Amino acid sequence: MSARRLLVVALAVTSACSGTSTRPGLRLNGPSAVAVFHGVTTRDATTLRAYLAVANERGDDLRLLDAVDGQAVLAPGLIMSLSVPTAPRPALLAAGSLADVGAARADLLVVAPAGLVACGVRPVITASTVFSGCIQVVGTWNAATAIAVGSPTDPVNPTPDPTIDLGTLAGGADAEVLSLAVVPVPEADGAGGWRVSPGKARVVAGLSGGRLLLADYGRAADGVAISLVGAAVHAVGFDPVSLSGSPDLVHLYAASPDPVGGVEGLAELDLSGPVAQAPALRALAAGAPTTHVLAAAVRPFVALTSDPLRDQHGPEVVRVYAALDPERCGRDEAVACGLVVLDPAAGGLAPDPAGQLPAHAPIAIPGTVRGLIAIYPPSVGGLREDGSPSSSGTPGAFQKLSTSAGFRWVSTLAAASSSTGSLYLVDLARGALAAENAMLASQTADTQARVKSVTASTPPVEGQPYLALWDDRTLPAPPLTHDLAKLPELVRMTPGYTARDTWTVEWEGFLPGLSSLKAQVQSSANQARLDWLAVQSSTVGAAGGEPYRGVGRLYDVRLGLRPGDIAVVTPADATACPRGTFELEVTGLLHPLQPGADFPGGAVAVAPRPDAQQPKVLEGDLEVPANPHCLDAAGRSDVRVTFRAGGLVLTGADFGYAGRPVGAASAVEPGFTLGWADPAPLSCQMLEAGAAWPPAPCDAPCRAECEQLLLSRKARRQFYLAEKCLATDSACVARWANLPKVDGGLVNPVGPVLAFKVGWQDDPSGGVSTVTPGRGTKLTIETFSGQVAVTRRPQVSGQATAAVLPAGLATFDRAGVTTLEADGVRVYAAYPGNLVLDLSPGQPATSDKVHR
Amino acid sequence: MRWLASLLLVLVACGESSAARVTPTDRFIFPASVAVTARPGGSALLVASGNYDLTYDGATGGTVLSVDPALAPAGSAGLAGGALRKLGEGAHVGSLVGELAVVDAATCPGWGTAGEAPVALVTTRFADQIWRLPLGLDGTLGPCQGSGCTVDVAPQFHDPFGLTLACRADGLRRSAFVSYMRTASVSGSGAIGWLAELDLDDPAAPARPIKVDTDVFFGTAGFAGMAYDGRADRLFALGQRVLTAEVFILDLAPCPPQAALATCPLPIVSVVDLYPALGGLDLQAIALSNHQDGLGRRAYVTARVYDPTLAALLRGRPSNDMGAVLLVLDLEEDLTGRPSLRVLRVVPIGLGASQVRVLPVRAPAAVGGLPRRDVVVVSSATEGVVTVYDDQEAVARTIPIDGTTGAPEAGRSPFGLAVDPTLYGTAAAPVARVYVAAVQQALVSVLEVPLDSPGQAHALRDPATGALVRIGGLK
Repeated sequence: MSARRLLVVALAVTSACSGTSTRPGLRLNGPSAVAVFHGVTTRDATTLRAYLAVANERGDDLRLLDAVDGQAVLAPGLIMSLSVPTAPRPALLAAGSLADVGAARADLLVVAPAGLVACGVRPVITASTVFSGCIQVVGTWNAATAIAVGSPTDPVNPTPDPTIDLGTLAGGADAEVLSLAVVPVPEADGAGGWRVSPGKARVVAGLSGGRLLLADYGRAADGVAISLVGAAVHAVGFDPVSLSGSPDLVHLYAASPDPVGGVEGLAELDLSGPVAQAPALRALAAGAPTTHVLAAAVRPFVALTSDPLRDQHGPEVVRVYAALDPERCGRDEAVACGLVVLDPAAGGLAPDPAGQLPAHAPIAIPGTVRGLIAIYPPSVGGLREDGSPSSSGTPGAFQKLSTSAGFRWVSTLAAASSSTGSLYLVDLARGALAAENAMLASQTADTQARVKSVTASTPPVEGQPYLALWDDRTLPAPPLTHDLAKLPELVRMTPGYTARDTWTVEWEGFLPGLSSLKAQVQSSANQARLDWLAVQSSTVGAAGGEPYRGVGRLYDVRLGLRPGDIAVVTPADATACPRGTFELEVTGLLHPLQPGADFPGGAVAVAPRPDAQQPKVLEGDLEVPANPHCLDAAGRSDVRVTFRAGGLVLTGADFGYAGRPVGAASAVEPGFTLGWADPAPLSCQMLEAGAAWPPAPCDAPCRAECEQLLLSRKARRQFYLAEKCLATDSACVARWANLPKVDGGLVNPVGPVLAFKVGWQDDPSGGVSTVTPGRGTKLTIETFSGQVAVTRRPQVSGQATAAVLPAGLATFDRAGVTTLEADGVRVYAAYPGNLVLDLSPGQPATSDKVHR
Repeated sequence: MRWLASLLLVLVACGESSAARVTPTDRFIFPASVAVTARPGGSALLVASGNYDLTYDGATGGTVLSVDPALAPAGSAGLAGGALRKLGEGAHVGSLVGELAVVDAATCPGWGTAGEAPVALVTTRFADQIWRLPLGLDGTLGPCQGSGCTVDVAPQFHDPFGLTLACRADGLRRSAFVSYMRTASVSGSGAIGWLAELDLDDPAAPARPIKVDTDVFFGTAGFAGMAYDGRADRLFALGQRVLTAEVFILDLAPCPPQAALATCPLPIVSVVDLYPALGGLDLQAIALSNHQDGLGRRAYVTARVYDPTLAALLRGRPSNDMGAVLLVLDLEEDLTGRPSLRVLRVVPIGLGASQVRVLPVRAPAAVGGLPRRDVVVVSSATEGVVTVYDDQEAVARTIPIDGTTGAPEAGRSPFGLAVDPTLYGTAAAPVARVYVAAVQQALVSVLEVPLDSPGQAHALRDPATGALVRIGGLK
């Protein structure tokens, strides 16, 4: 090949390469936090622009994105994005305006590393270096864009270093920054209210060791730079792990895993004083410790209107939302998991909009909440309160929420990032996850709320009856039926209470979680029978530790065991029990501390079931019953046990144990209802938060009350909804005809999770059977909640990508700058898989962007 | 013709057989695992080097050296030129070492009371071997003599990696368990995971294969780290099958010294999958909290996190990681008696999460006298950082990459971790010393973690020069 030909080939190759080149991206490296600020950079050294700062935890720097055009701010060489080196492992970012009077000036942008560091940029570490918490200020006012270090020795224009080295502040030693916020500095407006103090901004940081930092920043003498005015660390007695400033300018809310003044929930801090003054503190009970908090101005839902796209909302109020610590909430617990809603004016949980529960039901967020941020309507593209379009500079009252059905007008939204990798949009006005679809309407047939199907199993033995439902609608002679077409109409559910689940009503069905457990049985003293059965296995005294492992708490009411239930026992020693698995009847629940007890989790007293009810085994050609007495004289024996209900049991695949329906022999007998009931008159020591084990002895009435409380908790409202059936949707209208209507629709209806009246139906006569059903005879009920939440996650070409562990969140009213409605409010979420998700709630998910 | 001579010279050099080269024992060569044992007057640090580039003979290219980790000049820490104060000559083992463990009175209760000498165990993947190396009571380690230094294992087992001791305090079983990273094909069961159990009381006994399947799940592709809970006589083993994150729980049974291991009851296995709690988890290592009355037990698990969507598309593990986490799990039994392994916390750590160790129990809190949760140390090999996590305060400090030089303070590719049984500092302010094997820097770095203020954890430095104090290093 000649040199000329080589040159041609090389040029072709290089041109091909250049043809694929694009403007450099951010080159993220473990983004952990994001914040939007106004400042100057090399991209525009003279005009303030809005930028998104991204903290690169693995890169020890910040990267900047122009928040208006979505382009990375480049380094001077223009081949890479600009790196702003910080202290190692920047984890938290916060930004805010100094509310300058007159021309707008650069915002305050602060960054804090994870853990203790040698505070400074590229510090020299020696053997005597003491590490400390650190808050650095980014020089947003200088196009060089670097961590500000001041110029304290400048003879002409000395400026102090605005960095806060917590180790140098009184009370700040060993304090790690757990949370960070920039809030306005309030000042009295002279009319009994508060206004923003111009030229200042306040940094608030939650610190480990139960401390809080307050630091005021102001304009430096040159009127451009930002300098530290004063800072102080205050002991608050709890770790503030998340902070949110109130729209009322004065208050700040802090979430904490620790009790706040003895109360589990949130702290409300009054920041009206100077930084040196410890903020006044008020505890707000949330029912459990909290992990994240958001204070937002909200226009609560009032009523449905004739406009299907917009509700009637009330005047703006401040509401506080807090994610409960998943260790202390749950379906069985006193409080369900999710975002609790607090009304700071009332000093506690907001009331239940449906007027039923003691307080607003928590807004359930799938997974574990990792971040929260409010999304207010944009300046352009929204609606004012009167329904007219909002104009530039004036945020509207309503914003568009893109849904699969088009869009709806909503008030304040929130974005909650979750351990599922998704962002969930929350309709704060309705106190619920924003809905992708109409929940009731028949056109969303794949998801609409309804009893989707009910099927009756064939009896295991010919001649045994079916499980069937009474059709109470047919009076005065309601028939029993197991007709697949009719059964769904005979099961009541309530939108908002009934989750998507598969339920089973089964005769002698399995009790959830109690299958194939290692257990021990104990002979009576005279070795004439078996005394008890406990779920446990011996450690044979290993390591001086516990005598037993695998200790099941059979005495705990949450397992749902009761006398009359059946223990299906498989002995470990086949030689002692050649006929294998046998069955015992549970005759009582034994307390772990009763005299002579050797079962730390409690036990069940047992008696052999009659031979007729024992499993049958073949001995030669002869079918004989299993032998429940084979271990009677064996002392302590190892077995496997599975518990079955002694009659009917209702379970949900997700819900778990749901109670014991009773077969109705006639139409006048009551049916079964699984629903919420006021827990106030009920008490159960075993179900109290943090209850010690073993519990106090609990007799049969006590256990009945505990089960009632437990099922009531589990049957709490799942979500709120307000919706009308279309007049043309007769199936929808008919389906919910029995629920009361408000403004022509269902507004947070109240009712049971499930209700039905079961009976046994003879086959083929169809009459009421007097024969007991066979084991395993069942009805399977499938329910749909109707709820499909609006979620977003990073996508490339329609495929989710790197959607794990979303971290920091930020918002920006881009439409307010561009005046383009389509720009809307941007929501940014940092993902450690080296990307930032950029979305607008008003635009469909296909418009989402990913910045890398 | 001169160029031809040069070329021939190069070819000759390249053609030198690696088998002809004996690994030197005056240095670490890709040190991966470390362990510490007490000896009169101090500690002995055992360092297993892996010969990962196979510069030396594959079958014997790995080394286990015992060195004095004390500060120079008495010990190896900070000796000029990376010189080592060795305790004994050291031993050659197979290349590609896995985990290393020392069997002594501290790790295996009662060991030595009948005159048993301490033993070092190490896995090597080059020839799928488990090595059993006798140690002197003074920490010395000499060359392996004869063929008695390896344990017989079924030849179908491949890639041994994890190694955990499981000694009952009452002496009714003294075992070591080895995990295999690659699916073994044994008796036609190609998709079943296997562990091997070694009888520590019978060096001549072959390892017993332990088939790990459960009632609810059948089959796994390999195992990574393991941990033993002596109080419940329970072994936890981390599965490595993609699109799952299974923690296998093996309820062990007693096996008296007189009984042959093969005749003793097999463990009963159950499993908990962490994947539903957090997708993309690739579990690496596990350590259990110290037992303290009044505090529930916890497990600390390191995991690399891949893109779960991409993995589902590929039906395989993507090569890139999205992040890495330390999972804090609840080890307490749930209502039905199964370890709940509920995820209590997800702590972001450096990429390439690797090994995890729990530091000694801390004194109760000064105010209130309540017990305090543990301090945990985690290595992140890819990113080159080590994280010190305080589970009491739920905060973490990272031993970072030096901002000026770009060099990781804990050394490049920090992987193996060992905690010195001796506490330093003062009784009022104890300091734990952690040794970190830096695979790609041929050294072991030394971290100091003040137990009462773990946020001040740091790489050990020379007070006079500020230089990092390390053990070994490139010569």
